[in-house]
Amino acid sequence: MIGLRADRVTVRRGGRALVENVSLRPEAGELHVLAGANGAGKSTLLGALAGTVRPDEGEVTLDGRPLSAWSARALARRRAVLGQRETLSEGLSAREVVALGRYAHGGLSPRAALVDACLRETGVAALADRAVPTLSGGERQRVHLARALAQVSGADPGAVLLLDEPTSALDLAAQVHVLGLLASLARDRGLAVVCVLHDLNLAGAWADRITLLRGGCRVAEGPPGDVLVPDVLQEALGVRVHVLPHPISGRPQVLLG
Amino acid sequence: MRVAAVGTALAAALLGLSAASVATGAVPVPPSDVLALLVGGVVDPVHAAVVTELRLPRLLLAGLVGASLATGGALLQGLFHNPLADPQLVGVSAGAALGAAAGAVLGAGTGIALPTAAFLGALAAAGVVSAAAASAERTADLLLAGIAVNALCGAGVGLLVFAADDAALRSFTFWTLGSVGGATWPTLSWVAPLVGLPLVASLGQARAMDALLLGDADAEALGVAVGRTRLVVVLLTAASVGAGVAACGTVAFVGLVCPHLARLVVGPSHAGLLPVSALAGAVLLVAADLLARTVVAPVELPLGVVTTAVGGPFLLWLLARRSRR
Repeated sequence: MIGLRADRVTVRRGGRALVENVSLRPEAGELHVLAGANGAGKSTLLGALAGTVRPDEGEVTLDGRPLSAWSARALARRRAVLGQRETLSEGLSAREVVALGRYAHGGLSPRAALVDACLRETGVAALADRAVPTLSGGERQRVHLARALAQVSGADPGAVLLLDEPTSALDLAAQVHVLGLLASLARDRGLAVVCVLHDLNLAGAWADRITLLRGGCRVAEGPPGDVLVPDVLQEALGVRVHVLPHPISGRPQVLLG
Repeated sequence: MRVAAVGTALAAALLGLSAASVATGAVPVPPSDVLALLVGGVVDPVHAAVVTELRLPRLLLAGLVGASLATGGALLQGLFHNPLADPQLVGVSAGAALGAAAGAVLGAGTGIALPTAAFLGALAAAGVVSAAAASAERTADLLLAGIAVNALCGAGVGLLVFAADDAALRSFTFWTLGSVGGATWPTLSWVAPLVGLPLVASLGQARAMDALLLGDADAEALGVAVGRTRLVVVLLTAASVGAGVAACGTVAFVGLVCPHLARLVVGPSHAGLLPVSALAGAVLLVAADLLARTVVAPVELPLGVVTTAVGGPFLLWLLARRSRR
């Protein structure tokens, strides 16, 4: 059984279920978006998929083996994680940070060409030698995204890329660029990409599937056209919205008010 | 390569200082004699004895201990995500001193027993500090835990010295301010491998330490076995610092000053930071020892007095710089 499978996962903290009985099967070749209100359990679910959060019930498996049975190194060759929290305070250069993406792949230093290619893909090649803590929030986010790209570079199809709000600090052009990049990683390189997003219009435009969470439970899952419908969104987010098809692509676009 | 250039410069400085250190003292030895000794030529026997039995072991001990403390500081700073972590400030050195002093009282005056006791003391101190400052990202917690461990260990050493009055224990000053004056070849025969091998082994952790700079969760996701890496690094640091302390007591601030200077010059990546710190530590301690035994000759200053005179103001400067940010 190839790929990442979350089976009836429940995560409890302090007597409260942050994620309750959620199953998820991100497919290779698809961009799968996790959406929902603050505190809906998106990041916790992503952590369970990454193996950094241990489920209290249920199981997450990768290629048929429970995540807990994988060594950190073997797992890192099969899946990359881009978290939300950033703790780097030391002045490693962007190039050094991206090179760390190849940690699990052995060798003392990865090929410079690979590192540079990843920096170019996220549009920060010009910052390669800058110390990361001196960059702006959006620039840092793109450096760390380049690190995740380096980690999954050359991975077999079915490798997994997990991202927690990778566009939260990005300007509009960069958001569009990054979503396009993620979609193409899924489509062209056969990765299973799972991405937490708040912006439903980005999700609508790029996602192959969307899982909508509320209070730790799954409210809906399916292609954007099935999930981004007013009644479902009202139930999940508590906001009345309109949904119109995009005039050119036909994909759902969410309008407020 | 910047690291190579800086490393070469430091190595040259170390060589120059070593030559000066061997030649300087109560009995001045002309450089020509030092050179002749090194190539096996005939030399005034007094000069030969002074160099080979006194100054050379002393020089090597100072260099090794300096390298060990500086590398220990660089490793602890990376491990705790804390720029102020230093074997002395966080109490690892004091733990080693207490262990060694206890070992000395219990009769472990010779051979491998003394450094083993120091290693256990260093390990215990590192364990206590790690547990007390579990949220290692809070700078203050780690230093407060270090203050507590330092105070406890200092009291312990004081009590032992007071109660024991034993020649094996030498003096409170030795354990708390350090001296490389007791260096002999038999001492070096255990100090060199116990200090040196962990230093070399720690280079193998350089990339994992770099990954840890991104935080534990990110490092784990990159494939670093974080728990095992932390354990290995603590063990290596405790072994290296412990052996150094067993041989020459605690010497303050080397582990704080050298990694900071190294980081300013070669950046935070450990593959360069660790060897450059080690060289800088060796340079600093060889220079400090040269000063300690020459400025008020024939009396010797405790080594820790000299390093603290450099390191104390440096720490204040660091704090001022951090608070300005």
